[in-house]
Amino acid sequence: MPNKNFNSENLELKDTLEINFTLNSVKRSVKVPCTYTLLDILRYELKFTGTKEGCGMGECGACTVIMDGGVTPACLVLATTLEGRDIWTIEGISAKDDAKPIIDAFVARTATQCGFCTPGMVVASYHLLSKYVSPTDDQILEALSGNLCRCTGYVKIIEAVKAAARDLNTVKKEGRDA
Amino acid sequence: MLRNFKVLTPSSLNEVLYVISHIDQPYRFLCGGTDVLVRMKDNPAYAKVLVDISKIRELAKIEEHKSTYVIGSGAKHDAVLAYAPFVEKYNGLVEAVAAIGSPQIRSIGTLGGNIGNASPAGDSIAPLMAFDAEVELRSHESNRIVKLEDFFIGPGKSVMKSNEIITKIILPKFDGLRSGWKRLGQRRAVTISKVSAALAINCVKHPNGSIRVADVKIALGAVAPTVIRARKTEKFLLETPNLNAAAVKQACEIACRESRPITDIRSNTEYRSEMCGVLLGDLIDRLVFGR
Repeated sequence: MPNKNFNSENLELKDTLEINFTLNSVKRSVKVPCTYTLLDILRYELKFTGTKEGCGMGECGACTVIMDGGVTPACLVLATTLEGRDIWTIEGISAKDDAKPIIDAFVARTATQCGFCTPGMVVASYHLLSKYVSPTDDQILEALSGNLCRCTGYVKIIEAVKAAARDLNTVKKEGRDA
Repeated sequence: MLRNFKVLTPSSLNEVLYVISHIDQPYRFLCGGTDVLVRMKDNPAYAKVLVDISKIRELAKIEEHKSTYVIGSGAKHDAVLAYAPFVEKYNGLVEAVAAIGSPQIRSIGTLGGNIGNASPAGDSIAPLMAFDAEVELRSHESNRIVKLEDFFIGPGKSVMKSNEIITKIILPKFDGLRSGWKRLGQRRAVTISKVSAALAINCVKHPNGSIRVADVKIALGAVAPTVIRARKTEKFLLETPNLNAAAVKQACEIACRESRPITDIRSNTEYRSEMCGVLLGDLIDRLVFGR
């Protein structure tokens, strides 16, 4: 549907896209079918398999990543909407110093059983603790309300987030005192 | 995995209007993707073309005007929740939007998408309709404003034509209205409402202790083919000389009768109808009597 007033490329039907985005602070460029989601790009194109596919419908939270500062289901981000975005996955987040207390707390409290929901849980917990230093119980429940776990019954996960918050506060306090 | 569709990536609203007036196959808009991609995974024939409007900046703005607030159709639920005037004065809207999906859904889902889907259970719709919101529909050739109350014609159906796009949601400013929203669902989060109610009300207390309703707006969700205004209940409340317990009870009964719910996988006719009254009663208790 050509029109001289517009950039013709924007008016063409596309089935393949070249997408530029930032993944864990590294610039990436991928050429993928337009039917690919961010989850497909991460797992199949870039082999970042830490982000899991659960329901594929945005209900379970297993594929949670941080996109432009917000918790986001990677299964519902289509390649075209990924252009120019800033993405953090569990691989990037778990390498950060302030994620270590969260991961340690999940391990120490057995907040993980089969482990499939864990990357999404850790990403959602990391996002919560980067917003609130000492979250209330309601804030924790709210922050994890989009993440399903079929093993633990959630109690140990919530305990782990609380423990991680205490730990992070202690680290920060010691940092200030030192 | 998704398959068998193509995308269009217009870079401005004018390009969007141009492509949707010239496209010759069924298309859907893609902004947050929280509904359209779920539907396409279920039914690959749902759309052959997706028109990506996620990067059209002017659709994502929320602006204050003299007598209105204008919300771009591409404004995300999280942006609505973060907008201070809404938090301050449109409690009913904020409560509803905060209950949509999960934090993951609210960070990418949009208000325009929630409206455009035209689900009778769309949670942002009842408070917007109670607040007399309007939508702006634009096409390559025209521009029209439609009251949200007149926008929906049935489940999944609206007056929007295939060459139109919702560009704005226009929310009038009010003085003195207190508002709230409540729903019943299977779970607390990631749930579709069985029934929901939005109430905006302004009451005047007389020296003799009686309470008169100066202004009231009620919308009910998931209890009719579209979200509806409970006009008979509103009229009754406005004409009530004193809003006492008996009057509240009567208003709730009228609201039950105004609903026209169906039985489906989420709930049944009788329960939904009765719960209209219960939710309205709870909202009146909270907003008028502080209980």
